[in-house]
Amino acid sequence: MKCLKIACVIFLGFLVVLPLSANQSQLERILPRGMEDQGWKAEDEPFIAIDEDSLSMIINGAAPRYMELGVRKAVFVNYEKKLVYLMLEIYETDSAKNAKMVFKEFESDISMPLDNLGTESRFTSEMGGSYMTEYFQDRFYVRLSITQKSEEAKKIILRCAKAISENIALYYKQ
Amino acid sequence: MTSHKKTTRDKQNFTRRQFIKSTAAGAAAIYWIPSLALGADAPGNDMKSRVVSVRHARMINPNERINAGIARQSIDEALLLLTKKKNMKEAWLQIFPNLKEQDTIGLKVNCVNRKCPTHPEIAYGIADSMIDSLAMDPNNIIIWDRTSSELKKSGYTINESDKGIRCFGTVDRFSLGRWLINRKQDESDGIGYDRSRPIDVGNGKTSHLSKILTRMCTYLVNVPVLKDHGKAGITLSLKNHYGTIDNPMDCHPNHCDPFTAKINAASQIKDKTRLIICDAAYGIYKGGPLGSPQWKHNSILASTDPVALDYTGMQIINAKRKQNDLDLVTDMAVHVKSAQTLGLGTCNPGNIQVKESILI
Repeated sequence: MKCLKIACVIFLGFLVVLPLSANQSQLERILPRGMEDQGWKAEDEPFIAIDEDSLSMIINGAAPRYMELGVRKAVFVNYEKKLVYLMLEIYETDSAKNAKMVFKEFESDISMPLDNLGTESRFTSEMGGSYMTEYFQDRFYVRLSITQKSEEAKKIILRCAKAISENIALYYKQ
Repeated sequence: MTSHKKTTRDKQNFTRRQFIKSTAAGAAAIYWIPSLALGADAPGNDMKSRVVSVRHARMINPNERINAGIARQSIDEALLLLTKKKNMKEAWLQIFPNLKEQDTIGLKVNCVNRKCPTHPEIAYGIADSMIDSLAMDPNNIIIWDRTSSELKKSGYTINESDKGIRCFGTVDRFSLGRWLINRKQDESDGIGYDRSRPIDVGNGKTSHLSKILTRMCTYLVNVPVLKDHGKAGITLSLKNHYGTIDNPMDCHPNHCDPFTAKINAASQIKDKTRLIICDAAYGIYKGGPLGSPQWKHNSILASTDPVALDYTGMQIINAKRKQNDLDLVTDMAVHVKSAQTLGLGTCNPGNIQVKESILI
Protein backbone atom coordinates (compact mmCIF):
# COMPACT_ATOMS: atom_id res chain seq x y z
CA MET A 1 0.00 0.00 0.00
CA LYS A 2 2.84 2.35 0.94
CA CYS A 3 4.61 1.58 -2.35
CA LEU A 4 1.41 2.35 -4.25
CA LYS A 5 1.13 5.73 -2.51
CA ILE A 6 4.74 6.57 -3.37
CA ALA A 7 4.16 5.54 -7.00
CA CYS A 8 1.05 7.76 -7.13
CA VAL A 9 2.98 10.75 -5.74
CA ILE A 10 5.75 10.25 -8.30
CA PHE A 11 3.21 9.89 -11.14
CA LEU A 12 1.35 13.05 -10.06
CA GLY A 13 4.68 14.83 -9.83
CA PHE A 14 5.40 13.94 -13.45
CA LEU A 15 1.97 15.19 -14.48
CA VAL A 16 2.77 18.56 -12.92
CA VAL A 17 6.34 18.85 -14.15
CA LEU A 18 5.92 17.59 -17.72
CA PRO A 19 3.59 20.34 -19.00
CA LEU A 20 5.82 22.95 -17.32
CA SER A 21 8.86 21.55 -19.11
CA ALA A 22 6.97 21.60 -22.40
CA ASN A 23 6.02 25.26 -21.85
CA GLN A 24 9.60 26.08 -21.05
CA SER A 25 11.08 24.40 -24.10
CA GLN A 26 8.50 25.94 -26.45
CA LEU A 27 9.23 29.45 -25.26
CA GLU A 28 12.97 28.96 -25.02
CA ARG A 29 13.26 27.91 -28.63
CA ILE A 30 12.24 31.45 -29.67
CA LEU A 31 15.36 32.88 -28.04
CA PRO A 32 18.19 33.93 -30.35
CA ARG A 33 20.95 31.41 -30.84
CA GLY A 34 24.70 31.85 -30.83
CA MET A 35 24.80 34.72 -28.33
CA GLU A 36 27.77 33.15 -26.53
CA ASP A 37 29.68 33.01 -29.82
CA GLN A 38 29.37 36.80 -30.00
CA GLY A 39 30.77 37.18 -26.49
CA TRP A 40 27.46 37.57 -24.64
CA LYS A 41 27.23 35.60 -21.45
CA ALA A 42 23.78 34.59 -20.16
CA GLU A 43 23.54 35.69 -16.53
CA ASP A 44 21.35 32.75 -15.65
CA GLU A 45 19.11 30.14 -17.19
CA PRO A 46 16.10 31.67 -18.97
CA PHE A 47 13.40 32.48 -16.42
CA ILE A 48 9.98 31.21 -17.46
CA ALA A 49 6.97 32.83 -15.82
CA ILE A 50 3.85 30.70 -15.98
CA ASP A 51 1.43 32.62 -13.75
CA GLU A 52 1.06 35.94 -11.93
CA ASP A 53 3.20 34.81 -9.00
CA SER A 54 6.17 33.82 -11.11
CA LEU A 55 5.70 36.86 -13.36
CA SER A 56 5.79 39.02 -10.23
CA MET A 57 9.21 37.55 -9.43
CA ILE A 58 10.57 39.41 -12.45
CA ILE A 59 8.31 42.35 -13.20
CA ASN A 60 7.01 42.88 -9.68
CA GLY A 61 3.90 45.06 -9.34
CA ALA A 62 3.40 45.35 -13.10
CA ALA A 63 2.47 41.63 -13.33
CA PRO A 64 -1.29 41.98 -12.73
CA ARG A 65 -1.64 44.45 -15.58
CA TYR A 66 0.15 42.12 -18.00
CA MET A 67 -2.15 39.27 -16.92
CA GLU A 68 -5.19 41.52 -17.47
CA LEU A 69 -3.94 42.19 -20.98
CA GLY A 70 -3.89 38.46 -21.72
CA VAL A 71 -0.29 37.46 -20.99
CA ARG A 72 -0.14 33.76 -20.15
CA LYS A 73 3.56 32.97 -20.11
CA ALA A 74 6.79 34.86 -20.47
CA VAL A 75 10.47 34.15 -20.81
CA PHE A 76 13.23 36.44 -19.59
CA VAL A 77 16.92 36.16 -20.21
CA ASN A 78 19.72 38.63 -19.62
CA TYR A 79 23.10 38.67 -21.26
CA GLU A 80 26.18 40.56 -20.18
CA LYS A 81 29.24 41.63 -22.13
CA LYS A 82 31.81 43.97 -20.65
CA LEU A 83 29.28 45.41 -18.17
CA VAL A 84 26.73 46.10 -20.91
CA TYR A 85 23.46 44.26 -20.28
CA LEU A 86 21.13 43.01 -22.98
CA MET A 87 17.72 42.07 -21.61
CA LEU A 88 15.19 40.01 -23.54
CA GLU A 89 11.55 39.70 -22.52
CA ILE A 90 9.08 37.64 -24.56
CA TYR A 91 5.44 37.59 -23.47
CA GLU A 92 3.08 35.00 -24.91
CA THR A 93 -0.55 36.11 -24.81
CA ASP A 94 -3.65 34.13 -25.75
CA SER A 95 -4.22 35.90 -29.09
CA ALA A 96 -2.62 38.20 -31.64
CA LYS A 97 -5.19 40.82 -30.61
CA ASN A 98 -3.94 40.72 -27.02
CA ALA A 99 -0.31 40.88 -28.13
CA LYS A 100 -1.21 44.09 -29.95
CA MET A 101 -2.97 45.39 -26.82
CA VAL A 102 0.16 44.87 -24.73
CA PHE A 103 2.21 46.63 -27.40
CA LYS A 104 -0.20 49.57 -27.45
CA GLU A 105 -0.28 49.73 -23.65
CA PHE A 106 3.34 50.84 -23.55
CA GLU A 107 3.23 53.40 -26.35
CA SER A 108 5.38 56.43 -25.74
CA ASP A 109 5.74 59.80 -27.44
CA ILE A 110 9.49 59.39 -27.59
CA SER A 111 9.40 56.11 -29.57
CA MET A 112 10.13 55.86 -33.29
CA PRO A 113 8.33 53.33 -35.50
CA LEU A 114 10.51 50.68 -37.13
CA ASP A 115 10.10 48.97 -40.49
CA ASN A 116 10.44 45.28 -41.22
CA LEU A 117 10.20 43.95 -37.69
CA GLY A 118 7.22 41.95 -36.43
CA THR A 119 3.70 43.08 -37.22
CA GLU A 120 4.37 46.49 -35.73
CA SER A 121 7.47 47.71 -33.95
CA ARG A 122 9.14 50.72 -32.39
CA PHE A 123 12.52 51.88 -31.10
CA THR A 124 13.05 54.05 -28.03
CA SER A 125 16.08 55.93 -26.85
CA GLU A 126 15.32 55.73 -23.12
CA MET A 127 16.30 58.06 -20.31
CA GLY A 128 19.02 56.66 -18.13
CA GLY A 129 21.29 55.51 -20.95
CA SER A 130 19.54 52.60 -22.66
CA TYR A 131 17.84 51.66 -25.93
CA MET A 132 14.67 49.61 -26.17
CA THR A 133 13.01 47.83 -29.09
CA GLU A 134 9.49 46.42 -28.89
CA TYR A 135 7.21 44.66 -31.32
CA PHE A 136 4.31 42.26 -31.53
CA GLN A 137 4.06 39.30 -33.83
CA ASP A 138 1.52 36.49 -33.81
CA ARG A 139 0.51 36.16 -30.13
CA PHE A 140 3.84 37.44 -28.81
CA TYR A 141 4.89 40.80 -27.46
CA VAL A 142 8.69 41.14 -27.46
CA ARG A 143 10.80 43.74 -25.67
CA LEU A 144 14.59 44.07 -25.78
CA SER A 145 16.73 46.59 -23.91
CA ILE A 146 20.42 47.33 -23.94
CA THR A 147 22.17 49.45 -21.31
CA GLN A 148 24.37 51.43 -23.67
CA LYS A 149 23.72 54.13 -26.22
CA SER A 150 25.94 53.65 -29.27
CA GLU A 151 25.62 52.68 -32.93
CA GLU A 152 26.99 49.25 -32.07
CA ALA A 153 24.36 48.81 -29.34
CA LYS A 154 21.63 49.73 -31.85
CA LYS A 155 22.88 47.09 -34.28
CA ILE A 156 23.02 44.43 -31.57
CA ILE A 157 19.52 45.03 -30.24
CA LEU A 158 17.99 45.09 -33.74
CA ARG A 159 19.87 41.95 -34.80
CA CYS A 160 18.57 40.11 -31.73
CA ALA A 161 15.03 41.39 -32.30
CA LYS A 162 15.12 40.06 -35.87
CA ALA A 163 16.43 36.68 -34.75
CA ILE A 164 13.54 36.32 -32.28
CA SER A 165 11.06 37.40 -34.94
CA GLU A 166 12.39 34.75 -37.33
CA ASN A 167 12.09 32.10 -34.63
CA ILE A 168 8.48 33.09 -33.91
CA ALA A 169 7.71 32.84 -37.63
CA LEU A 170 9.42 29.46 -37.78
CA TYR A 171 7.83 27.84 -34.74
CA TYR A 172 4.47 29.59 -34.53
CA LYS A 173 3.09 29.72 -38.05
CA GLN A 174 -0.48 31.03 -37.92
CA MET B 1 27.29 50.56 -16.72
CA THR B 2 27.40 53.14 -14.03
CA SER B 3 30.20 52.86 -11.56
CA HIS B 4 30.30 55.01 -8.49
CA LYS B 5 32.88 57.69 -8.06
CA LYS B 6 33.66 58.65 -4.54
CA THR B 7 33.60 62.31 -3.76
CA THR B 8 36.54 63.85 -1.95
CA ARG B 9 36.62 63.28 1.74
CA ASP B 10 38.56 66.32 2.75
CA LYS B 11 35.58 68.43 3.73
CA GLN B 12 35.02 66.85 7.10
CA ASN B 13 32.50 68.67 9.23
CA PHE B 14 32.24 71.56 6.82
CA THR B 15 29.79 74.23 7.75
CA ARG B 16 26.57 75.23 6.08
CA ARG B 17 28.23 78.44 4.81
CA GLN B 18 31.10 76.47 3.31
CA PHE B 19 28.59 74.08 1.78
CA ILE B 20 26.66 76.82 0.01
CA LYS B 21 29.92 78.24 -1.28
CA SER B 22 30.79 74.85 -2.67
CA THR B 23 27.73 74.65 -4.90
CA ALA B 24 28.18 75.58 -8.54
CA ALA B 25 27.12 79.18 -8.40
CA GLY B 26 27.40 79.54 -4.67
CA ALA B 27 23.70 80.11 -4.28
CA ALA B 28 20.82 78.11 -2.97
CA ALA B 29 17.25 79.28 -3.21
CA ILE B 30 15.18 77.97 -0.35
CA TYR B 31 11.46 78.45 -0.08
CA TRP B 32 8.35 76.95 1.37
CA ILE B 33 6.01 75.04 -0.86
CA PRO B 34 3.00 77.40 -1.08
CA SER B 35 0.31 74.87 -0.17
CA LEU B 36 2.12 74.11 3.04
CA ALA B 37 3.49 77.55 3.73
CA LEU B 38 3.14 77.69 7.47
CA GLY B 39 5.98 80.06 8.13
CA ALA B 40 9.58 79.14 8.51
CA ASP B 41 10.29 77.69 11.90
CA ALA B 42 7.04 79.01 13.28
CA PRO B 43 6.21 77.84 16.81
CA GLY B 44 4.61 74.44 16.71
CA ASN B 45 6.15 73.39 13.40
CA ASP B 46 8.60 71.12 15.17
CA MET B 47 5.63 68.89 15.94
CA LYS B 48 5.09 68.34 12.21
CA SER B 49 6.80 65.70 10.18
CA ARG B 50 9.37 67.40 8.02
CA VAL B 51 10.04 66.35 4.44
CA VAL B 52 12.76 68.13 2.49
CA SER B 53 13.30 68.16 -1.24
CA VAL B 54 16.61 69.29 -2.71
CA ARG B 55 16.73 69.83 -6.44
CA HIS B 56 19.69 70.53 -8.68
CA ALA B 57 19.21 71.07 -12.41
CA ARG B 58 22.51 69.33 -13.15
CA MET B 59 21.99 66.26 -10.97
CA ILE B 60 21.85 64.24 -14.18
CA ASN B 61 24.80 64.54 -16.56
CA PRO B 62 24.36 64.96 -20.33
CA ASN B 63 25.24 61.25 -20.63
CA GLU B 64 22.15 60.57 -18.47
CA ARG B 65 24.19 59.28 -15.53
CA ILE B 66 24.00 60.81 -12.07
CA ASN B 67 26.54 63.52 -11.26
CA ALA B 68 28.14 62.07 -8.12
CA GLY B 69 29.43 65.43 -6.83
CA ILE B 70 26.07 67.14 -7.15
CA ALA B 71 24.29 64.13 -5.66
CA ARG B 72 26.55 64.38 -2.62
CA GLN B 73 25.98 68.13 -2.29
CA SER B 74 22.23 67.56 -2.51
CA ILE B 75 22.32 64.83 0.13
CA ASP B 76 24.26 67.07 2.52
CA GLU B 77 21.91 69.98 1.88
CA ALA B 78 18.92 67.72 2.53
CA LEU B 79 20.39 66.61 5.85
CA LEU B 80 21.14 70.17 6.95
CA LEU B 81 17.62 71.29 6.10
CA LEU B 82 16.02 68.28 7.71
CA THR B 83 17.90 68.56 10.98
CA LYS B 84 18.22 72.36 11.00
CA LYS B 85 21.85 71.90 12.02
CA LYS B 86 24.78 74.05 10.95
CA ASN B 87 27.23 71.35 9.94
CA MET B 88 27.16 67.81 8.72
CA LYS B 89 28.54 66.22 11.87
CA GLU B 90 25.78 67.73 13.97
CA ALA B 91 23.23 66.77 11.34
CA TRP B 92 24.24 63.11 11.28
CA LEU B 93 24.49 63.00 15.08
CA GLN B 94 20.91 64.21 15.28
CA ILE B 95 19.91 61.27 13.07
CA PHE B 96 22.08 58.80 15.04
CA PRO B 97 22.37 60.35 18.53
CA ASN B 98 23.63 57.20 20.23
CA LEU B 99 25.95 56.00 17.49
CA LYS B 100 28.79 53.87 18.82
CA GLU B 101 32.04 52.98 17.12
CA GLN B 102 31.01 49.36 16.59
CA ASP B 103 27.54 50.19 15.21
CA THR B 104 26.70 49.24 11.64
CA ILE B 105 24.43 51.34 9.45
CA GLY B 106 22.59 49.64 6.61
CA LEU B 107 21.43 51.46 3.48
CA LYS B 108 18.47 49.56 2.00
CA VAL B 109 18.51 50.45 -1.67
CA ASN B 110 16.06 49.36 -4.39
CA CYS B 111 17.49 47.56 -7.41
CA VAL B 112 14.45 45.60 -8.56
CA ASN B 113 14.47 47.73 -11.72
CA ARG B 114 17.97 48.06 -13.08
CA LYS B 115 16.85 50.80 -15.46
CA CYS B 116 15.73 52.98 -12.56
CA PRO B 117 17.37 51.77 -9.35
CA THR B 118 18.64 53.64 -6.33
CA HIS B 119 21.64 55.04 -8.16
CA PRO B 120 25.04 54.02 -6.77
CA GLU B 121 26.16 57.66 -6.88
CA ILE B 122 23.41 58.48 -4.37
CA ALA B 123 23.86 55.45 -2.09
CA TYR B 124 27.64 55.89 -1.98
CA GLY B 125 27.08 59.64 -1.58
CA ILE B 126 25.12 58.99 1.62
CA ALA B 127 27.77 56.56 2.82
CA ASP B 128 30.58 58.99 2.08
CA SER B 129 28.73 61.78 3.86
CA MET B 130 28.50 59.63 7.00
CA ILE B 131 32.13 58.54 6.74
CA ASP B 132 33.38 62.10 6.24
CA SER B 133 31.21 63.65 8.92
CA LEU B 134 31.32 61.00 11.61
CA ALA B 135 34.77 59.53 10.90
CA MET B 136 33.05 56.17 10.57
CA ASP B 137 34.87 53.03 9.53
CA PRO B 138 33.57 52.50 5.95
CA ASN B 139 33.27 48.80 6.70
CA ASN B 140 30.54 49.65 9.23
CA ILE B 141 28.27 50.67 6.38
CA ILE B 142 26.39 48.04 4.37
CA ILE B 143 24.58 48.88 1.14
CA TRP B 144 22.15 46.04 0.63
CA ASP B 145 19.11 44.77 -1.21
CA ARG B 146 17.42 41.42 -1.84
CA THR B 147 19.97 39.98 -4.31
CA SER B 148 23.63 40.61 -5.06
CA SER B 149 22.83 39.94 -8.70
CA GLU B 150 20.41 42.90 -8.86
CA LEU B 151 22.86 45.17 -7.02
CA LYS B 152 25.59 44.31 -9.50
CA LYS B 153 23.34 44.90 -12.51
CA SER B 154 22.45 48.32 -11.10
CA GLY B 155 26.10 49.36 -11.02
CA TYR B 156 27.11 48.45 -7.45
CA THR B 157 30.36 46.71 -6.64
CA ILE B 158 29.78 43.69 -4.45
CA ASN B 159 32.09 43.86 -1.43
CA GLU B 160 31.89 41.32 1.37
CA SER B 161 35.44 41.97 2.56
CA ASP B 162 36.53 43.60 5.81
CA LYS B 163 37.72 46.73 4.00
CA GLY B 164 35.66 49.54 2.51
CA ILE B 165 31.91 50.03 2.28
CA ARG B 166 30.27 46.63 2.22
CA CYS B 167 27.67 45.84 -0.43
CA PHE B 168 25.77 42.59 -0.96
CA GLY B 169 22.32 41.05 -1.20
CA THR B 170 20.38 38.86 1.21
CA VAL B 171 20.65 36.11 -1.41
CA ASP B 172 22.87 35.87 -4.44
CA ARG B 173 20.12 35.50 -7.05
CA PHE B 174 16.71 34.01 -7.60
CA SER B 175 16.35 30.35 -8.39
CA LEU B 176 13.10 29.61 -10.21
CA GLY B 177 13.32 25.87 -9.57
CA ARG B 178 13.75 26.32 -5.82
CA TRP B 179 11.00 28.91 -5.69
CA LEU B 180 8.51 26.72 -7.56
CA ILE B 181 9.10 23.87 -5.12
CA ASN B 182 9.35 25.78 -1.83
CA ARG B 183 7.62 29.09 -2.63
CA LYS B 184 10.67 30.60 -0.98
CA GLN B 185 13.80 32.19 -2.37
CA ASP B 186 16.99 30.20 -2.58
CA GLU B 187 19.10 31.14 0.46
CA SER B 188 21.87 28.63 0.02
CA ASP B 189 24.32 31.16 -1.37
CA GLY B 190 23.73 34.26 0.73
CA ILE B 191 23.16 35.66 4.21
CA GLY B 192 19.53 34.56 4.02
CA TYR B 193 16.47 35.35 6.09
CA ASP B 194 16.04 35.26 9.83
CA ARG B 195 13.91 32.17 10.40
CA SER B 196 14.11 32.56 14.17
CA ARG B 197 12.03 35.75 14.20
CA PRO B 198 8.97 35.54 11.92
CA ILE B 199 6.91 38.72 11.70
CA ASP B 200 3.15 39.00 11.41
CA VAL B 201 2.28 40.74 8.13
CA GLY B 202 -1.49 40.46 8.41
CA ASN B 203 -4.21 38.16 7.08
CA GLY B 204 -2.63 35.22 8.89
CA LYS B 205 0.60 35.47 6.94
CA THR B 206 4.13 35.69 8.27
CA SER B 207 7.36 36.83 6.69
CA HIS B 208 11.01 36.60 7.60
CA LEU B 209 13.33 39.59 7.45
CA SER B 210 16.76 39.68 5.89
CA LYS B 211 19.48 38.73 8.33
CA ILE B 212 21.40 41.74 7.04
CA LEU B 213 18.83 43.86 8.84
CA THR B 214 18.19 41.70 11.90
CA ARG B 215 21.73 40.52 12.64
CA MET B 216 24.15 42.90 10.98
CA CYS B 217 22.65 46.41 11.10
CA THR B 218 22.24 48.55 14.19
CA TYR B 219 20.45 51.28 12.24
CA LEU B 220 18.85 51.60 8.85
CA VAL B 221 18.69 54.30 6.21
CA ASN B 222 15.94 53.53 3.70
CA VAL B 223 16.92 54.68 0.18
CA PRO B 224 13.97 54.09 -2.18
CA VAL B 225 13.27 55.37 -5.70
CA LEU B 226 10.44 57.62 -6.95
CA LYS B 227 8.14 55.19 -8.81
CA ASP B 228 4.49 54.33 -9.20
CA HIS B 229 3.32 50.75 -8.69
CA GLY B 230 0.66 48.77 -10.53
CA LYS B 231 -0.81 47.34 -7.34
CA ALA B 232 0.17 49.65 -4.49
CA GLY B 233 -0.12 52.94 -6.37
CA ILE B 234 3.37 54.00 -5.30
CA THR B 235 6.53 52.23 -4.27
CA LEU B 236 8.60 54.52 -2.09
CA SER B 237 9.95 53.98 1.42
CA LEU B 238 7.23 51.73 2.88
CA LYS B 239 7.05 49.42 -0.12
CA ASN B 240 10.86 49.27 -0.36
CA HIS B 241 10.78 46.62 2.39
CA TYR B 242 9.33 44.08 0.00
CA GLY B 243 13.00 43.66 -0.77
CA THR B 244 13.65 42.95 2.92
CA ILE B 245 11.26 39.99 3.33
CA ASP B 246 11.44 36.44 2.01
CA ASN B 247 7.94 36.23 0.50
CA PRO B 248 7.08 39.48 -1.32
CA MET B 249 4.85 37.54 -3.73
CA ASP B 250 2.49 36.60 -0.88
CA CYS B 251 2.06 40.24 0.08
CA HIS B 252 0.66 41.76 -3.12
CA PRO B 253 -3.11 41.08 -2.78
CA ASN B 254 -5.50 43.93 -1.95
CA HIS B 255 -3.15 46.72 -3.06
CA CYS B 256 -0.46 45.24 -0.80
CA ASP B 257 -2.58 46.10 2.25
CA PRO B 258 -2.28 45.46 5.19
CA PHE B 259 1.03 43.78 4.37
CA THR B 260 3.15 46.84 3.59
CA ALA B 261 2.16 48.68 6.75
CA LYS B 262 2.50 45.61 8.94
CA ILE B 263 5.99 44.84 7.58
CA ASN B 264 7.06 48.40 8.42
CA ALA B 265 5.55 48.08 11.90
CA ALA B 266 7.88 45.17 12.70
CA SER B 267 10.17 46.38 15.48
CA GLN B 268 13.31 45.43 13.54
CA ILE B 269 12.31 47.89 10.82
CA LYS B 270 10.45 50.52 12.81
CA ASP B 271 13.03 50.85 15.57
CA LYS B 272 16.12 50.68 13.37
CA THR B 273 14.99 53.10 10.64
CA ARG B 274 16.38 56.56 11.35
CA LEU B 275 16.22 58.23 7.98
CA ILE B 276 14.71 57.97 4.52
CA ILE B 277 16.53 59.47 1.55
CA CYS B 278 14.59 58.97 -1.67
CA ASP B 279 16.47 58.93 -4.96
CA ALA B 280 14.22 61.18 -7.03
CA ALA B 281 16.81 62.01 -9.68
CA TYR B 282 14.55 60.27 -12.17
CA GLY B 283 10.96 59.18 -11.73
CA ILE B 284 8.44 56.69 -13.09
CA TYR B 285 4.79 57.74 -13.01
CA LYS B 286 3.20 55.12 -15.29
CA GLY B 287 3.66 51.36 -15.58
CA GLY B 288 6.02 51.16 -12.60
CA PRO B 289 7.85 49.79 -10.80
CA LEU B 290 9.61 48.53 -13.94
CA GLY B 291 10.60 50.26 -17.14
CA SER B 292 12.92 53.10 -17.89
CA PRO B 293 12.80 56.52 -16.19
CA GLN B 294 10.02 58.76 -17.52
CA TRP B 295 11.14 62.15 -16.33
CA LYS B 296 14.06 63.90 -14.72
CA HIS B 297 13.04 65.15 -11.30
CA ASN B 298 16.65 66.01 -10.36
CA SER B 299 15.88 65.74 -6.65
CA ILE B 300 16.62 64.10 -3.35
CA LEU B 301 13.77 63.76 -0.82
CA ALA B 302 14.54 63.20 2.84
CA SER B 303 12.57 62.67 6.03
CA THR B 304 12.58 60.74 9.26
CA ASP B 305 8.88 59.94 8.74
CA PRO B 306 8.35 57.25 6.08
CA VAL B 307 4.63 57.92 5.82
CA ALA B 308 5.09 61.67 5.32
CA LEU B 309 7.80 61.05 2.73
CA ASP B 310 5.61 58.57 0.85
CA TYR B 311 2.66 60.97 0.95
CA THR B 312 4.86 63.74 -0.44
CA GLY B 313 6.29 61.46 -3.13
CA MET B 314 2.77 60.42 -4.07
CA GLN B 315 1.84 64.07 -4.70
CA ILE B 316 4.79 64.35 -7.11
CA ILE B 317 3.72 61.19 -8.97
CA ASN B 318 0.09 62.32 -9.01
CA ALA B 319 1.09 65.67 -10.49
CA LYS B 320 2.87 63.90 -13.36
CA ARG B 321 -0.10 61.59 -13.89
CA LYS B 322 -2.47 64.54 -13.97
CA GLN B 323 -0.31 66.26 -16.58
CA ASN B 324 -0.59 63.09 -18.67
CA ASP B 325 -4.36 62.58 -18.20
CA LEU B 326 -3.95 59.51 -16.01
CA ASP B 327 -5.93 58.58 -12.90
CA LEU B 328 -4.35 59.57 -9.60
CA VAL B 329 -2.79 56.74 -7.59
CA THR B 330 -4.14 57.93 -4.21
CA ASP B 331 -6.99 55.41 -4.04
CA MET B 332 -4.64 52.52 -4.77
CA ALA B 333 -2.05 53.56 -2.21
CA VAL B 334 -4.09 52.39 0.76
CA HIS B 335 -0.94 51.22 2.54
CA VAL B 336 0.01 54.83 3.26
CA LYS B 337 -3.11 55.36 5.37
CA SER B 338 -2.71 51.96 7.00
CA ALA B 339 0.83 52.92 7.99
CA GLN B 340 -0.51 56.08 9.59
CA THR B 341 -3.11 54.03 11.46
CA LEU B 342 -0.32 51.85 12.84
CA GLY B 343 1.47 54.95 14.12
CA LEU B 344 4.35 54.84 11.66
CA GLY B 345 3.98 58.48 10.64
CA THR B 346 1.51 60.90 9.18
CA CYS B 347 -0.15 61.29 5.80
CA ASN B 348 -2.22 64.23 6.96
CA PRO B 349 -0.95 67.17 4.87
CA GLY B 350 -1.71 69.51 7.76
CA ASN B 351 0.85 67.65 9.82
CA ILE B 352 3.56 67.59 7.15
CA GLN B 353 6.01 70.42 6.67
CA VAL B 354 7.57 70.30 3.21
CA LYS B 355 10.65 72.37 2.55
CA GLU B 356 12.24 72.62 -0.85
CA SER B 357 15.69 73.85 -1.71
CA ILE B 358 16.87 74.48 -5.22
CA LEU B 359 20.60 74.40 -5.67
CA ILE B 360 21.91 76.35 -8.63
